[in-house]
Amino acid sequence: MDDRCELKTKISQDGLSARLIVPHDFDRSKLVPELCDAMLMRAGIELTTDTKKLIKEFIAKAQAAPEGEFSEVIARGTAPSHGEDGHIEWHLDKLQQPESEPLPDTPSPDANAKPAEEPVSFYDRSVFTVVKTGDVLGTIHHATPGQDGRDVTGKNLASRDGKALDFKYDESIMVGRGYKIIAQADGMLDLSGKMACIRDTIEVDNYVDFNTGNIRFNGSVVIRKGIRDCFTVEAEKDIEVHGLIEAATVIAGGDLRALGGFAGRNSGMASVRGNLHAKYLDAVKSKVRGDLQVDREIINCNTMVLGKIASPQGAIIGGETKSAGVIEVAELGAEGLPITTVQIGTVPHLDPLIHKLSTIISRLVEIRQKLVDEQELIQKSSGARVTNAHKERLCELMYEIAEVQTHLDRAEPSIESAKEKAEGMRAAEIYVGKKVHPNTVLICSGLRYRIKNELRGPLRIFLDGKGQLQVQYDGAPPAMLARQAELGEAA
Amino acid sequence: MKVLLVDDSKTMRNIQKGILTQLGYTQLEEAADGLDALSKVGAFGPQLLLVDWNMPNMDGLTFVKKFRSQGGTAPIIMVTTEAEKSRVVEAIKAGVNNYVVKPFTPDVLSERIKETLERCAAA
Repeated sequence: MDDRCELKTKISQDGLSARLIVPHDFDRSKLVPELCDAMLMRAGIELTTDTKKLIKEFIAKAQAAPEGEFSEVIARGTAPSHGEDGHIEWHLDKLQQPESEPLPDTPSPDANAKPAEEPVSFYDRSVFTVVKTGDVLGTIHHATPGQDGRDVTGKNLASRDGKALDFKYDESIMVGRGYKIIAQADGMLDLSGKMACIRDTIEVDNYVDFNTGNIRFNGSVVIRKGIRDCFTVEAEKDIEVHGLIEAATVIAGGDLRALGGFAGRNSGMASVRGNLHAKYLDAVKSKVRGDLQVDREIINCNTMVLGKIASPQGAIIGGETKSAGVIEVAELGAEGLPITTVQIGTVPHLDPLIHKLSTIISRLVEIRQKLVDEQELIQKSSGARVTNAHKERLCELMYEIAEVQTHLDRAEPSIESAKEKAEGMRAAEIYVGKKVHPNTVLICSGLRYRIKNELRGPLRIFLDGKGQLQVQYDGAPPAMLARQAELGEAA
Repeated sequence: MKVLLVDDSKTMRNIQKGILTQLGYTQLEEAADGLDALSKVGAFGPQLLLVDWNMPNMDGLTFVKKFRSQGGTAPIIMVTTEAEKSRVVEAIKAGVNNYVVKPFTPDVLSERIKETLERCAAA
């Protein structure tokens, strides 16, 4: 038989399908299943039930087809199904702030892109994932096995199993039911090392800037360099900054260590619940609940300290400083610079509160007296015959007086407690190692002392029992500071 | 429990509200006179009413009569300066369940409320 008149088979390169080909000159009346079976067997193709069914269909189609070559797939294999690698589906989008975007001056890849409708703060884009105990951080999907395939000749096609997940974590993370990854501590999720963990300290190796965004954290923060203008670092525990803090906002629930100094340019702000230790403070507004220790100078600052101020080698120059505790400095004020104002013996957060409470109490006492007077007047004027209107008013008065009294009963112990607390913190005392410059203003007990001439240290300024400031030089008896100052009433 | 306070004096209503809140009643509605109260009872559906006697537009006694004639069954405590026996009898005949004479103390009002609710629940 001519080769061109013989049935042919063709197996695809991957072995997953085989075609039967009826040549142009083949006598299709001879096309029977047995012939096809024989051709397939000769080619090594497995004769499965499906293949036999396809052969029958093939013959019917071939005989109905117009003249010419006819071919169709008459055997199919099964491709191997590879297993899926183990992986973690993180659910961090709900926990973390949006990922950092290109810097504001970086050109957008799509110049025609519409601007976002919501204004975006590039400062608020943080790269740190802050988590809380119990947060579900992700779900583990374990590796799945592969399933082998089979080609048309019946040969096995090997599959590949998924790679096992290598997820290591410490005790700050737990894998719970349903392979959920659950935070066991508050802090920052760290996936950078070999072992996933939650750290109670954020460590920033560089500056806090557009690369990090603002930091708001429930633990401690260590910044190896500085904090750039307009950024905020807020931590529930301590903050340590090795470089310069610029016109930034720093809020520490614990201590703040500004080892590289703080140059606030009148926009920098520090709020510290613990102690503040700084190399220097320049044009910074700060509130410190603990002590303030400064290595060099506090210059043009607005400073409020509930503890003591210790800067034995430094100076307070310009600005306004209020301290409840003892102040120890080398120098107060400076020549030719703006006035340095230091208020001592004041408890900055309690004194205004005491004043406010005192005003409220006076007002309440006044109101109560008016009501009592009205009550007495009605009772006296009506005598035995009290009208219905009087009875109603008496009822109202009774309750109004009781209500005022309730407020007084709450306010009076509060003011006593605030006064007691304030007295415990109050220390009107300054130790100056070198000198107090002219024009330095000291405010204490409602009096304002403007120093006329330089006072050479070491000296001690303190409040005497009569509410007057005294100055005492080393070894000498104390003298009235008013003799060396212009005295006035404090505003 | 829903309580409707009917009194022309805002101070008195506030006093009553304070006492009722302390007693744990939180669903409170106010009306400034009998007419105002009549317009509110339908929607509010009070389960207890504290009603002043002397009010402009419609006094407490007229309100009580109208409320009862419209089928209102909620207990009513009259809060009044009218302590005369004949007046009290008149109020009770009109459908008042109990009364408190002004000036009253929080304890007295609280006692009257409890007493009235217990009495009505038992009936």
